[in-house]
Amino acid sequence: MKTIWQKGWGALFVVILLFISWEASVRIFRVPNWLLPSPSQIVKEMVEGYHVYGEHLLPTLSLALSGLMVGCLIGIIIGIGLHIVPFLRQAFYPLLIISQNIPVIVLAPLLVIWFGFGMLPKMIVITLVCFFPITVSLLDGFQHTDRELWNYMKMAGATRKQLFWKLEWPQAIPALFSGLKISATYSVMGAVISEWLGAERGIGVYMTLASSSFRTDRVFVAILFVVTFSLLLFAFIVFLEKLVIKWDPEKEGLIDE
Amino acid sequence: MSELVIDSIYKSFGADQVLHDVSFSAHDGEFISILGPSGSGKSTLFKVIGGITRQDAGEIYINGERITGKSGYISYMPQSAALMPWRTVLDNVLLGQEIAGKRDPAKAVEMLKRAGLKGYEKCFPHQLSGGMKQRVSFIRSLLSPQTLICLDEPFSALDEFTRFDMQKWLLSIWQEYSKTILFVTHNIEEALFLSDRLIILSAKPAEIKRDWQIPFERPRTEQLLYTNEFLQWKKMVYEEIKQG
Repeated sequence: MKTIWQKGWGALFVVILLFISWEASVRIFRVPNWLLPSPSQIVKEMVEGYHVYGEHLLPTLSLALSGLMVGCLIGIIIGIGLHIVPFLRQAFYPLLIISQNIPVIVLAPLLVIWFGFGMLPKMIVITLVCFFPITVSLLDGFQHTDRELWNYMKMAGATRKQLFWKLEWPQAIPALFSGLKISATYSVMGAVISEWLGAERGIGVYMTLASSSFRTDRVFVAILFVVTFSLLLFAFIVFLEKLVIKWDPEKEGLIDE
Repeated sequence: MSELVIDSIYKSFGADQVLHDVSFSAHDGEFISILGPSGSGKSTLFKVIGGITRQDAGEIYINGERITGKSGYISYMPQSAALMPWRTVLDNVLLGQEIAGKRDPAKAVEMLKRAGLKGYEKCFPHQLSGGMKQRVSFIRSLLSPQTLICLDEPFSALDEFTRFDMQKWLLSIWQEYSKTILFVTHNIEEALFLSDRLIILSAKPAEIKRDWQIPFERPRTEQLLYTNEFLQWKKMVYEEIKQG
């Protein structure tokens, strides 16, 4: 805890300073509420408006989580596939990058036309957002396989399958986690965008309703929850990482002979 | 009786000829050092024997069986310890057996104990010192089912004190297991101290210049290093290498 405090006080200080000057500016210049609410008004809405937004929280979180899981699975499968078959890698890598250049906002209405308003288009949106960082970081991890270990295993007669499961896969796990962290934070954003396509409940719905009725304070409440959920998912991935990767050299000191 | 026969190996990378008519044989339990200047194709020779680099001409046999281009017949120990950082010491030394299909943890624990690594079985490589990592790497080779071990300058990254300890340790443990060792080095003293036979390679392209039997009695001790005969040998080898 102490180190978090030592590292985090600077960031905390900046955030507090930002909120203070925000609050002060809104009060001094008498900015109307619908244009920019002050932080205190946002907090007030957050406390008093729970009956309005309460039902919208869980659907978004579960949508983000399930989307992240599907995106993860697909990201890993594509990553492994492209690595194992070099031809596929050459053929599909450019396509992979193009898939990230199409704005999701543009793609979303198209997906509704093709797949309707159900779960499927929503999942596709989140998956599209989430799989890419995972695939790219996984491919990167595979690229950095230790040559000496590779030679050792080859000369000892290891099969391709053994080389993959005993060497390449475990070696790529730290890289996989750095991709996962990015995807986890993207997944909440993906969920909100997919809810704009049409949903009954969700932060995306709440946000649309709030902005169309000029309840700017509620838009900020929505933003706050998107940020909180992203951070929660990020923290969860970091927790998993600590659980899985036990060989972090920074955690323990070297023994000298 | 496991016998390794290397029969006139040629290898070049493009216009760059690396190995030129390299032939020698090694009999069971023999300790052979291969000495040569840096970049003289020693590592390439190992890769050819290990079956992961294809030679241009020549054949390799073990026990009369032709193994040219086949892998799985040698246990290779690279310059760096090349341990898997995500595996514990015990799981690392079992890797060679795992590839061959059978694990024998009881024997591994016993060997680690004999190597002075008792209590480190559950440690990860990053918690070990350089010398300890090399010992783990060598035990991995010893536990592997292959009878031929190829060591590629295994001690070159160690400091002088650790290096000498490791050499003595290597000799003591090798004498108990009937493994054939090919030991690549560019350290003359190390080669003379350890081996039964000394093969000297020329600079590029690598050719066998000399193939000498080393006459020193075993078991060898530190005292050997100060005998006149040892110094004579050292001088002779040095002269041979200097001629290029």
